[in-house]
Amino acid sequence: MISPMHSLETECRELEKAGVIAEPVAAQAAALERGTIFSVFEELRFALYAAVAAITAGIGLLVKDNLDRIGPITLVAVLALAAAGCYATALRTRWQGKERSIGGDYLLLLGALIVSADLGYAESQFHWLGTEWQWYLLILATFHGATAYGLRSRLVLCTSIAALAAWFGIEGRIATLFNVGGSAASLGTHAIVCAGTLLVWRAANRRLGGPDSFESVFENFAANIGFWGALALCLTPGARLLGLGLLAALAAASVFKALRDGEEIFAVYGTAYAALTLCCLEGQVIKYGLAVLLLELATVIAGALLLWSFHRNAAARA
Amino acid sequence: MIELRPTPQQERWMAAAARLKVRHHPWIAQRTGGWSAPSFIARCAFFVLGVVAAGLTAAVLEILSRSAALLAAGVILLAAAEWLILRKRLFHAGVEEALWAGGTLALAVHFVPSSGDWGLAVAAALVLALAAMRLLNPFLLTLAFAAASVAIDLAGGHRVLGEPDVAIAPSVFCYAAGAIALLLARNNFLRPSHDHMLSWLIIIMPLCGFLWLATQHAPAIRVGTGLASGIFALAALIAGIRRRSHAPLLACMASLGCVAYQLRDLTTLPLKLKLILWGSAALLAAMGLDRYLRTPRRGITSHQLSEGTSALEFVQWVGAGALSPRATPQADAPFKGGGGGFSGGGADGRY
Repeated sequence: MISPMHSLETECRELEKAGVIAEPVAAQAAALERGTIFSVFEELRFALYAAVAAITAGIGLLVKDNLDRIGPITLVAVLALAAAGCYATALRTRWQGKERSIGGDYLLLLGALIVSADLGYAESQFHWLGTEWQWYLLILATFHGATAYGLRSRLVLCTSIAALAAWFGIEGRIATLFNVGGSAASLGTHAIVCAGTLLVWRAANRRLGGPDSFESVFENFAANIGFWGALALCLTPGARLLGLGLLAALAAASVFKALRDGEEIFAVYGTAYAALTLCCLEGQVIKYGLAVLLLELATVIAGALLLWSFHRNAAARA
Repeated sequence: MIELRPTPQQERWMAAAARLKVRHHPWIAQRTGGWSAPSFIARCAFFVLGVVAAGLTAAVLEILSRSAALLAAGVILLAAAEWLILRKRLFHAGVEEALWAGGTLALAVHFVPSSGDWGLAVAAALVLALAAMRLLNPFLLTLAFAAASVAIDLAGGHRVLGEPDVAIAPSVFCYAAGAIALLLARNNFLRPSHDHMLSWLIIIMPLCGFLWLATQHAPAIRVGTGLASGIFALAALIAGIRRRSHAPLLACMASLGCVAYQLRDLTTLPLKLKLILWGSAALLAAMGLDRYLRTPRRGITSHQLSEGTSALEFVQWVGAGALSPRATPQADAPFKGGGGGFSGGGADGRY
């Protein structure tokens, strides 16, 4: 028996009659609302992510414990075989000319993560790169990047970007940002350079005819890493002006992109990151309690108003 | 006439427009009576900004007038929230929700003496429930139920933090709240927000019930919570499939996770092997289900039928990136800087 919790089928039909949506869209929406067709895609994605996370955590512990009984060569070989199995499935699907399913996507991601763990473990055991061991992260980023293009996988592209960010020294720990005068300045610089590299990569992807679906991955990562970099610089006494300049440039670019392409997420980046960074900066620079609180309040209200005006603008343009 | 909130039909138009991505269409604007709601990602951003603004307002008033700061903050925040709702016709916009919840919480803290007993928790639960009903907000309603479970625990003479606490009563309350929400969700509701409120309770409350007792090692409690989660997972699975509803299915998956946690001592294998084996089993099961449902079975399919939201896509990408191993320091090689210690290659050339 099908009894959907609530159904917007009537509204879908009326939208079709009014010409707001096309007939096929309305038919599919009505079927979804009625419950005659029901997709468990998101549930599967959630389950697959949890499974891959559990396996990766297990492999991380396995590698960390070093497994003297098994020996490094055996461990490296077993992990390589497991990764090869994951890649083989994706390669077979590609050679057969079929579209990879969500399960195949996550199996490929697991393969990429096993390769990352395997290479890191091998480097820690055999010291192929000696004192310049950090370069294994760049090798990983290149390998995952090539695989992402070869197999058209956005998830693998994300692991490539994560390896690249790690090579730049970006950890993703918020506490580091507030380590004033310490590592925050270099984190900021490295994050900005990393964001710039991602934008160059995106431009190359566009120029050389790479997949269109990769562009949003580059853009979102570049925006977030860039804003974190600007925040780190704003919190560093000697680099505040540079940080402020970069923050303004990033916020303007994000809002411009949001207005041009109608992507609301970039309006959120541009306003929310800018408002919260300015609040942190004001808290550091101004010593008098009431003044700083009032200024921070004004900044937050201005950020909210700017975001709301974007929403209004989008509505007016529609 | 002042409208306190959109009518059910207006809300349904807003929900349909959001679902079909025609939110800004003029035809929709005519039917929503001027009420407007931003996208989910913008709502989250507005909520964060609203929470920060509420905190800053309270801090400003604390400096100006220590004795009446919370009272004044509560009144100002509530007035601002109501102005945004009634004059600017915001509905589910995030900012008015943060201000309303912040204002009522400030008033509750002002009027209820915080002597560490259960009074403040009851007051918090009540004002959050009031805010949830006024704003039709599922997050605030779930918080209200969670606060109520804290009040039940404190009323039983327990401390939330510190001393050992066998919190059976709050756990039973949470499981019961989840089960009642699952039963109530059988009904058809005119307002989509009522549906969302029940969905949140179905997913979160059984988890809260489990978490209240998750640290207890007594076999009876472990069997009890495992059974409760298992029964809830089964009921939610059946309800989710019969009703073609996502919330019970997500609740089923979360409850299965709780069952798996309680079964952790079933074998003597080390944690790493358990993670790999259980993870592999889950991966194979999910892939098998994906394959089986590629051809729709009684209307259920594993294909993606509608375009995902950009926020959900980004969460997925960040999740994939977060699983990537961090830089691995050398086991015994001379260490220069350290992975993640800003000594990564290229940026400045120095190690």
